[in-house]
Amino acid sequence: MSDVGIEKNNSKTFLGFWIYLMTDIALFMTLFATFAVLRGSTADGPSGKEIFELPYVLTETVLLLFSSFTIGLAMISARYGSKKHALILLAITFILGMAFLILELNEFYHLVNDGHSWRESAFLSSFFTLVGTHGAHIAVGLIWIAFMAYQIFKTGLRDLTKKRLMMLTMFWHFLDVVWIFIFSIVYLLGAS
Amino acid sequence: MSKKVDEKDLKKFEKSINNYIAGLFFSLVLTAIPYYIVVTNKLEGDQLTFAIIGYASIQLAVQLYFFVHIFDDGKPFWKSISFAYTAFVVLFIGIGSLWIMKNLNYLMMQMPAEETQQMLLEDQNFQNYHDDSDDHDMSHHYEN
Repeated sequence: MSDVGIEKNNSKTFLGFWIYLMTDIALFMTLFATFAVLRGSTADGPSGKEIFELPYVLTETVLLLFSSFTIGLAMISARYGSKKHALILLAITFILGMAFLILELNEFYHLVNDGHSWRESAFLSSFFTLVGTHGAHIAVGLIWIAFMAYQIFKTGLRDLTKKRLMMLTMFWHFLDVVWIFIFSIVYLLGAS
Repeated sequence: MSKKVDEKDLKKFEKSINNYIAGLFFSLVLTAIPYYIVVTNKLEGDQLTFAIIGYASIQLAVQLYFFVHIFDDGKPFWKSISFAYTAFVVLFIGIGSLWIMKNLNYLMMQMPAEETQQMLLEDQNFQNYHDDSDDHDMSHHYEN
């Protein structure tokens, strides 16, 4: 049985969290604007075209997209009372998100190893800041997913747990949306 | 899950799942298209920029509707309002910043005023623009 009560009874909490997400959008917007202004300032370093590998980034994008899908399904499972399905789907979401993060850290590692760290040029500084901030959000999201899975495992699908899961789902969808723009503006436009 | 499932609940359940599947499918397509455009170099310059940002915006709308249910069935009204406000702030400050920085770029070039003006006009594709206030000789307005 689905529960519409959750949203009605906790509307203030959801409003607060939604507004937080709005401020996070504003934050990312400033990072995007900074990147857009500095994308040509490559000093003696490489431009986007030289360091971005599109197939690699497409993989990251698809991973994150599927994780957004599975967390949505996890939320539906929780709504309809299926603890087992919710846990399995949360686990899949975690694995997909972790895979994304590992790929991203790998990309950063190779860039820095080749000497192209954030110290080399304004372009790279803004790149690492923008993509790194998104990666930090993903990392926190993964910790949150782990906590939620533990909660559901230990205490089942209480109203409180479902409320928290709803906010996590909002957060995760938001991160996927931001990544779409990073993928488009940083990588696609940068590599062309 | 209880054995006796409500008809209405089942419909809602199916609708929810279908929403997510549709959202995933559309997002994948909307990711593949700009990727394809870039990889095969089908477009260039401004056209490319608009196309990619366009597809990203459409995917944003798709994800907002299918995943976040933002404009769906009269859900909390404040969600739409605060989102609209944020969108306004983002556009205002984002485009404003880019505009200002582009203008600062021009001013940093330390060219005489005429050259700066010429460069601005070229960027906006007014190659043959001629400002009458700079002229002392108006003969180009008269025939013969």
